Amino acid sequence: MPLIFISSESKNSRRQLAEDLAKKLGYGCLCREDLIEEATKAGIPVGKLEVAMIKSPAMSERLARQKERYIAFITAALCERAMEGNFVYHGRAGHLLLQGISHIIKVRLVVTQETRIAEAMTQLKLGRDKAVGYVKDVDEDIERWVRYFYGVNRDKPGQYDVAVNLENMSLSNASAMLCYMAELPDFRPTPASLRALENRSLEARARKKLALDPQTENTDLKVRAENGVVTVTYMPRQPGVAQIIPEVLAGLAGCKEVMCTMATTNILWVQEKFDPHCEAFHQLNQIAQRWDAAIELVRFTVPPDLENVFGGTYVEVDQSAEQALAGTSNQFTAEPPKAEYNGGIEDDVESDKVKDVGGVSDTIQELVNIGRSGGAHTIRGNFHTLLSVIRGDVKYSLIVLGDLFLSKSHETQVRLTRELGGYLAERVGVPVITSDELQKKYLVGKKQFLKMLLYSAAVAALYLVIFFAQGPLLPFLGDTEHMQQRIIRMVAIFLFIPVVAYLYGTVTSLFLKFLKFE
Amino acid sequence: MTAKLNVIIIDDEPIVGKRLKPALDKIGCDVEFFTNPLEAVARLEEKEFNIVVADIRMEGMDGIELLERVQAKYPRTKVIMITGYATLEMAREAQAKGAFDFIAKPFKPADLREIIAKAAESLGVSDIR
Repeated sequence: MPLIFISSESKNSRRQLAEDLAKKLGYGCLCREDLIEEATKAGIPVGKLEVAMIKSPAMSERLARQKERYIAFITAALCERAMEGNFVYHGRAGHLLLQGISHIIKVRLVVTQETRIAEAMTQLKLGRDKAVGYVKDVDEDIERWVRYFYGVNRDKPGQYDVAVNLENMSLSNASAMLCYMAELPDFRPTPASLRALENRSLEARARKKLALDPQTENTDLKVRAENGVVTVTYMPRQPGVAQIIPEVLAGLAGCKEVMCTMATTNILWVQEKFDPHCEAFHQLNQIAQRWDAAIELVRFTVPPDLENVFGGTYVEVDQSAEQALAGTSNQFTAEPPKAEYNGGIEDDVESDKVKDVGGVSDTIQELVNIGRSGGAHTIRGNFHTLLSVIRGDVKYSLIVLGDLFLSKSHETQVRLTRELGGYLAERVGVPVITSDELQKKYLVGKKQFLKMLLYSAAVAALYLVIFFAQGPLLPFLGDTEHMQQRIIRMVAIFLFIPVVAYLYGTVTSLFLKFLKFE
Repeated sequence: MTAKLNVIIIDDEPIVGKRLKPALDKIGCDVEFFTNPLEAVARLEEKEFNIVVADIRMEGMDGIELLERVQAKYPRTKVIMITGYATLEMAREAQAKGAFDFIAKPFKPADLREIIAKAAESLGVSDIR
């Protein structure tokens, strides 16, 4: 028999439906509220995550990691219960936690606004106006929460197996219908779906263990599990964590082997001022996703009085703040001391708020949110200083130069950026481009699509001409008697072949980019 | 208004008062702390406080009920809710019932001081340090 996950904004209705359904099917019943209580007791500040949705949708980097811990904890709890037996789960967006398992029926329960307003009026003892405001606010908060936690719109119908609207259907009939649905062969467990659940369970338990262990809680790890083998991918800026991961996962039930791999590559983004909402950030994120790369930020400024931008002894590197922020470290050898119980009142720390000069903190937070943070540095100096922070043990695949030398004139900015590009390309040995070139070189948009169409038409026209004009062409190519004809033919071929090669090469390159194949 | 800001903190964990009281004394607040909400209600019957800081989950009386009582008796008093088990719904309920603000644990005393300063400003008290 399948598991049933009910999602709804109305806590009351989902609870009633889930309890009735569980009773009819002889299942256990589990709700989100129980799981978040467990998570809070385990030290995950769920309340802070919830309130952050109301107060500040742009979460701090610290909360972004807590979000990962929360998801790991809840997923593991659901998997553990799923391995023990069948149950009906009801919550806000449980259907997004265990996706891809065919013996889970994902139900969207729709309750009318009027019903919810009436519930708020009676249960919370609110007047009508306040109840209307309450329902509207909670709806918007949940919408934001689902989008932030899972990156999806909760109303997208493809996420659910069935949507039940209670406007014209009683809860009891809705429950009877779902009981019938649970009997359908389509939702019966299969060997493949059970194996998928086992894999998800192992993966979730490994993620939970890593997220709750003080030695690995501040690292950015990606976990996958298949047939008892747990593969953990860590970021290049945290190489020391590779030694700790197997120790943390030791004794994990069902885990036969732990494999640690470093994320394949880093993209280095050098700029004076960062903004997580700019176009270059969006483009770099797309490229990083395609390459499975992390993005490392370098905020680079040149002192106005600096005479030699290429070399010399000028060194001013301030990595500490951003490194702390981005969890950059190779040292993962000692277990941090356990803090005394403080009743949820932490110590005031003066230096807790990192001064966000140049938008580095905001950008790193956004990168941590999307799991692409490669760390950050702030450097003031010359080209040599910049080169000194580029680590030899990290594999870079691209260096992107954004807006630099902002205190100089436009012409000087362009010249110095070009010179810096040449300097880095020669010494680091990876492609160096400016952020303006990202779209052209690595991404495809409308412009590229039109270009591909135009060039394809030109290539097709050329081949059609050759196909239909073979009568006059062959005598032209075959005439060996006249020297003048020979020279004209040679010149024609000399000009024609590069044109065809250029057109054909451009079409092929754009086509491969569309297929995301490079 | 130049009088000291009267603050009552109600949380069933003594450690909360131990940590918050000195942090608020420091900025010139006159702070009383209660672990028993019923005793706090009795104290509130005797004296009007400028600011009430109350935990939501407590034995005997929850923070929302306390909020309703304070709102009914002293509409000018600013109530700040604190809890370790916050949900969106709970925070919105407190807001709909007139809570001045809502803080989820864990938090730093500085976070509460910031909210208290805002509450003091709305009460016309400006000598908060």
